[in-house]
Amino acid sequence: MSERAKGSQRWGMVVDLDRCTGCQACVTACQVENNIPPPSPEAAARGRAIRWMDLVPYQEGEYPHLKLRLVPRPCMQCDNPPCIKVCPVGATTKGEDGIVAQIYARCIGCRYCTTACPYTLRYFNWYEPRWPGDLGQALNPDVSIRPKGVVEKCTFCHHRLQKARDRAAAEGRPILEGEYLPACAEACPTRAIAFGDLDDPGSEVAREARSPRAFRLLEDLGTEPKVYYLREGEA
Amino acid sequence: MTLGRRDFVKGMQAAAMATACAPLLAGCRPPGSAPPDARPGVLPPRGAPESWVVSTCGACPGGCGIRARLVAGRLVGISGNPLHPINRGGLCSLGLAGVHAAYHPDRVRGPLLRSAGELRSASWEEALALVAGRLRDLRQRGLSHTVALVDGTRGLSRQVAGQFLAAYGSPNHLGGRSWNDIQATPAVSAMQGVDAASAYDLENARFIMAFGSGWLEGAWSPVGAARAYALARRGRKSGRVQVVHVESRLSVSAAHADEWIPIQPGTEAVFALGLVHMVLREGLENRDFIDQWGHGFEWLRALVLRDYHPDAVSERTGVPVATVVRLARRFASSRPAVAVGDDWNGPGAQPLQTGMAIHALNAVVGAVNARGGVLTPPPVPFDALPTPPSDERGARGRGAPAIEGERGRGGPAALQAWLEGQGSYPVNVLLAFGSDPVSLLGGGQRARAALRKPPLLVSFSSFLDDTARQADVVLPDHVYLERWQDDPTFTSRGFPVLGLRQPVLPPRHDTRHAAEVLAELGRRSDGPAGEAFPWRDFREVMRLAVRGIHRSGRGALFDVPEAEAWVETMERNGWRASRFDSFEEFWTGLVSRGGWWDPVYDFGERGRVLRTPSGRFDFGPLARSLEPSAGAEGGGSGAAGGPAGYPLQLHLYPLLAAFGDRQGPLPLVQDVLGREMEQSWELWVELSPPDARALRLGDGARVIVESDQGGVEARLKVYPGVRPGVAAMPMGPGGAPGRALRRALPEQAAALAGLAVRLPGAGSALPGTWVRIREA
Repeated sequence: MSERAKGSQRWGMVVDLDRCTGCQACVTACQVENNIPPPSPEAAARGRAIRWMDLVPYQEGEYPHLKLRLVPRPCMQCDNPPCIKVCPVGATTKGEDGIVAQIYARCIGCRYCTTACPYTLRYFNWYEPRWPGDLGQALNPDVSIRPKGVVEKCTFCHHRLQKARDRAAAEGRPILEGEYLPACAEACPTRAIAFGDLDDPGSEVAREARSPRAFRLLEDLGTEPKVYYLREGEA
Repeated sequence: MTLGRRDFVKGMQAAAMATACAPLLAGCRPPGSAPPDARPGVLPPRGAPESWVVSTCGACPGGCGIRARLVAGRLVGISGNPLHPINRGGLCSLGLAGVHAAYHPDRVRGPLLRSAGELRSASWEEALALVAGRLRDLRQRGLSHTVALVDGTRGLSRQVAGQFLAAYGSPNHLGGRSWNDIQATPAVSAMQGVDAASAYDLENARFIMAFGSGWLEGAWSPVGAARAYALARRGRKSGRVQVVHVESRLSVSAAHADEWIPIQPGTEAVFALGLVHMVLREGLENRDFIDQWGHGFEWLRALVLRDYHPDAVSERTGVPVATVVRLARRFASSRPAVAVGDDWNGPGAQPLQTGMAIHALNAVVGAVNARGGVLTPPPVPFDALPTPPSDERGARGRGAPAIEGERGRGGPAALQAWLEGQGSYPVNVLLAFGSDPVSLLGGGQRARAALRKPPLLVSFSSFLDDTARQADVVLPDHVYLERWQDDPTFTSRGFPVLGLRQPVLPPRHDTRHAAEVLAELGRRSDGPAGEAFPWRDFREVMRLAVRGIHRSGRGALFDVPEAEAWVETMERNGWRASRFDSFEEFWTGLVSRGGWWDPVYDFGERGRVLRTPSGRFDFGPLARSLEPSAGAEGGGSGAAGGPAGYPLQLHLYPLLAAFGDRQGPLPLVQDVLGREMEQSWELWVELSPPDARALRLGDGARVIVESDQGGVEARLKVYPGVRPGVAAMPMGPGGAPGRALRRALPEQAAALAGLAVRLPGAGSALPGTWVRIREA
């Protein structure tokens, strides 16, 4: 475990596609944790559903040698994020811990960032947030509800980092590995999502990111994502 | 009023937009984003007290451990219990969306009675008096046997239902075997004589041959199956397990396999027997197992060697000869290998035959009751509940012919046939106890009509499911987050597990524990049923039965994964792994840890695993079904062709993340359904590109899918992962969508097909369902 001080971690994620079954527990875990209102069928049909974590299918090859790959896709939390550069009001920033944050109170809803993101992982709130019946009773008190007209995105469950930090600070120690996990990583039934400090060479994520199976999405764009994938198969 | 910066910018933007594209904006308002009763969310107050409760999920039959997070008395999050051996802290989509189950707008809020054709609210007293009055009356007229109970529960709730019927006097406790969530597979019952469900030791297999789409999407425990998969792939030092998947569609399971065999639907049995043929012809069978344990093997051997030559198999299944030969060699030589899919289940002889053919494949390589093979988990050592008293009327009622037949093997099809007039007496009262028989019978017209036959249909459902909607009385149960319950299950390695469910929330509506209501009905009906339930509430029943576990001294409370080896070592050497000074101490531990398990599987218990008359593994039932005189020959009639005008064979498959859903339709779950096919919120049908071209239909077209039973509208998805000649449709989650959230996947595809039985375990080809597709 690293002894680095607060704020010097570089949080990253490694998704092992050989463990992932595509069950979408991560998707639902994220929706519940982050108070994302369920879309209406019409909104979903228009591509306006908000899914910070989404399952993206890729088909390759032809029958009968077709392959179907299911890739869980959160915000890539780029080290060189294109979304930040286009924001006219500084509503999106990269913190010291490498997490790309969205400041809702500053966002003017221009959606330059949703266009700039090559992974299309930023979502605009087209509607007032609403929940059918009493479902709004189950909201997570740790995460604010976003108003209509702002852009939102995966935060690596930043509120959990704050809690872990507070706890560690109160006990006068650094954050332990596994103490801070986003909801998707915590819920994953197959432990396909590893999460931790990429700068800590001993951490699981740092080890896995160095695996020969590791790759990142659209690596050639130079965005330096902090989300890695491990491809299926041997080695 | 102050004008904020954002308002200012917004205003500027709006003004600019309005002038620039005023004509474009007309009629450009976003469509309504949520159902009409949707409300804004309000967060609990800051600093509100927070607490965690350990319990067991009940969203599907999987039985995962959960930890519920409560803030200010509101359930705001559910996460997995890291100590629970089934899920070890993980959870699936259904379980996570369970935070919405208690707050669901479609819950039944109190007892309902039908009057003048409509369900209306009633008091518990009124509803109970009506049902108990009818039960009393029937019993006094010597008609207690005409009361039937369809049971979807397990564990002690099931025992209470059994006691109720025994004391009251009816043989009709339906819902064993093929109805049950964790099924005893008919194939295993036929060949091993056991009534218990099977476990597949995927974690220790070196080669997995999976038939049908059941194993990742349709597993009774989605989390258990996913974990076994991940462990088999990456959790072992001995290397990565190889998986071959046999199905006519590239399902999620097939996509995760190393090799996909797109087989002609309905010929899976032929393929399995073709593999058996090759294994036998090349002398690769496990002689030790067959000689010591087998019975009727020579009979099967002669038939298979005669009729299942790879050439013939290839012709019927569409799988190349070389593939059959190669896979047979590989299956027999990579020990332990296991074939998954013997839970093939459905009407008629053929699904059973398919299941038996797959199970025979396991048996010839010795993958039965062996490491890495098919295991029979021992039951949780509960104390038996006290035997209910009996009187003469009850004994007479119990002696009447049973709907499911003497050995109770009829399954849902038997109930349907009985209700349609083939039974020897009419059913006067049908109790849907933790089950939705309309949906189990396929949910179509025929099922609805059959369930309209009993003069009194009683549902205990928490939601307005298909059965509750046509019931005469609804006695709503709590949702799983509000009740005490036991959840006996097992791991993929065959270890028995008892999950404990305790209330996370107080009941939100005027609902009651279904087992307690059943006991109350028993007390109110005439005769000894009243004395059968000396307990006050269900928690007391649990405490009664759990004493057996405490006394047995076996196993241990849930603990960290590292403790497993310790418990196993202790037990294998004849020691107790855990000691408790008193039962109270054991009970407290059980409640706080979430349950108990026994991480030891005894491979030597042959008498428990083989309960056929011969005491051996019986190949006879399969051989008998393959004899030409048996009619349904070789499971291959599916390939023969459908009725004129219906050129496509329907393939129904379970949907990832939806299988076994016992709750109402939760919007968050609806939202993830079909994402793997880039579909959402509506029913779709998949066709191969050549079939779609032949119909001159493109991706996304609105079409009508028709069988001779009726039609349903769906959106066309052109998917190269479907075998040409096949139309694939998802089977929706269990239960019908309710009122407020009634959207998407409404009348399920199974209903469209008018299938006699909905398949709980396997989703592949049902013989005889042929459809045609036209533009809507």
